Amino acid sequence: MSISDRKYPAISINVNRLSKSFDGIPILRNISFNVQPGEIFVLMGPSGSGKTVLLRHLIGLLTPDQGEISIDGQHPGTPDFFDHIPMAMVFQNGGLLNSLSVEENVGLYLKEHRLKPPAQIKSIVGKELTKLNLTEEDARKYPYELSGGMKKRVAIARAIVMEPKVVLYDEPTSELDPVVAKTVVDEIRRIHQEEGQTTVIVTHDRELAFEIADHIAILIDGTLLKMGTTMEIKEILSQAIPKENKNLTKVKNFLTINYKSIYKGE
Amino acid sequence: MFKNLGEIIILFYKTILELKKIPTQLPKILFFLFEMGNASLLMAGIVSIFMGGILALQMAPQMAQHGITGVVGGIIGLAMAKELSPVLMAILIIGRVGSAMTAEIGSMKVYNEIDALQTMNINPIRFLVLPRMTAIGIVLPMLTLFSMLVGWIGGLAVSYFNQTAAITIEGYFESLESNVNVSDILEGLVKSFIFALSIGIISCHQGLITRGGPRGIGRSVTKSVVNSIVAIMILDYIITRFILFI
Repeated sequence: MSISDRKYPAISINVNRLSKSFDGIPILRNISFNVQPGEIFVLMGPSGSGKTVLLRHLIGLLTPDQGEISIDGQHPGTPDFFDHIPMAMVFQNGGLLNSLSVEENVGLYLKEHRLKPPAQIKSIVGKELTKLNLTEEDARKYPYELSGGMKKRVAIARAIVMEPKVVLYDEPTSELDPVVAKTVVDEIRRIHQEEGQTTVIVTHDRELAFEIADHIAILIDGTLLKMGTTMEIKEILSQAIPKENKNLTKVKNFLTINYKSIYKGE
Repeated sequence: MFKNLGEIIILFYKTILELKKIPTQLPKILFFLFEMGNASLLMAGIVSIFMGGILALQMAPQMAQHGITGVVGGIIGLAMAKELSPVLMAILIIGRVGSAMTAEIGSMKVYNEIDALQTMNINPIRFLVLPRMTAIGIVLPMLTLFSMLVGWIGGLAVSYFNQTAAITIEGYFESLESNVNVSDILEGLVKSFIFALSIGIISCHQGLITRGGPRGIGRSVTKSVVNSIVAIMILDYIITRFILFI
C-alpha cells in the first residue's frame, strides 16, 4: 500500500473525570469528553488554561491524578500502549531533534524501530517531505536552520511517517504569520482527508478552529466550560447570554476577545 | 540529595537493562567515542606530561640531597598509575565531556525533544544514555592509560635534564620497572572505569531532570560538574580503601 492511499481504522478517545494538579495547584478539573473516530476535535482556550497539559495526558507524557483516559480501550502511559495505538504528536515548537538533519528526524521512528530498510526509509521520507513542499536541500538542513513554518511542516511529516491512528497537534499555527499558518492548516486538512485519523488540535486561534473542526471544546482555567459542534460554538457569538450564566459568558468573552486580539490587532 | 541519589541508581539500573541493545546503538557509540577521544587527547597529553614533569621537579632535587634518586622513576610511575592519571583524566572528562552531555540532554529536555522521542516510542535511556555511557566507559580508561605513559615520559624528561638530580634514562626506567607492577596499572584502569560510569550517569541524570529554559540548562551543567568531582573524590577513597583491604 502506498503512503498516499492508506486509510486507518479510526479510533475514539474517551476522557472521564480527569483532574491534574502541579504543586497543589489544580490545572485540570474533572474533565470529561469523547472524540469520535476519525473526527477533528479542537480544544480551545486562553493561554494557561491547561490545553497542552490535557494533550500531554492523551499521549501518556503525563499521568492524571484522578480520572482516566481510554483510547480504543487502551490507557496511555501503560508499557505497551504504543504497540496497540500508534499515536503521534506535533509539538508547539516542533520538538525536532537539533542534532539530526530534517531527513534523519523524519525517518527516526522507522529507523529506530527497524521497520524498513534504509533505502526504503529514505524514499518514504522523501515522498512525505515533497508532499509538504520541502525540497531535497531542505532535507539536508538541520532544524536550527529552518523557519518556524518549515519546522512545523517537518514535525508534521515526522508524525505522518509513523502511520498514526491518532494525531495530536499542539498550537500548530502559533508564532506563524497568517500566510504560513494557512499553509499549515491546509496540510492538516489534506492529511486528515487522505488518512482519516482521529485528530485533536489544541489552539487559541478561533479562525483555525471554526475552519477545520468537527467538534470544539472550550477549556478555561482548567474547566471544560462548553463543548459542541462548530456550528453550536459559532452560535454563541450571536446569542445574548444571560448574566447569570457565568460559564457561557466566559466562553463568549474568550471567543470575542480571542478574535479581536488575533485578527484586529487589539 | 537522597532523592537524586536514588534517581541516579534507578537510571543506572535501567541503563544496565538496556546493555543488550548496544549493537543497535553502535553508530552513535562510535560517534561519541570519536567525539570524546578526539576532543580530549591533546589536553590529556599536555596535562599528563606537565604533571609528570612537576612531580619530578619537586621530588628529584630532594631525593638527590638524600642520595636516593634511584626511586624517582618508581614514585612517579606509581603516583601516575594509581592516583594522578585516573583522577586528572576524570576531571578533564568531567569538564570537556560530562558538561557537554548534561548541556545537550538538558537542552533536549527543555525543548521537548525527549518528549518527542517518547511519543515515538523511543526509549530515551536507550537512545541517549546508553551510547554515551558506553563511549565514556571505553574512552576514560584509554585516556588514563595514555596519561600514565605520557606522565612517565614527562617525569623522565625533567629528571634527566635537571642537573641537580642527574638521573639517567636507564636508572629512571629501572626504577619504574622494579616498582610499578601490572596490578598497579590495572588498579588505575579499574578506578577510571568506575569514575567513567559515575561521570556518565551523573551527567545524563542531571540533563534528564533539567527544567526551566537556558538558565535551567546552565544550572544543570554546574551541578553536574560539581557533583561529578565530589563523586570522583569519594569513590577514589572508597576504591583505594577497598583495594588496600583485599
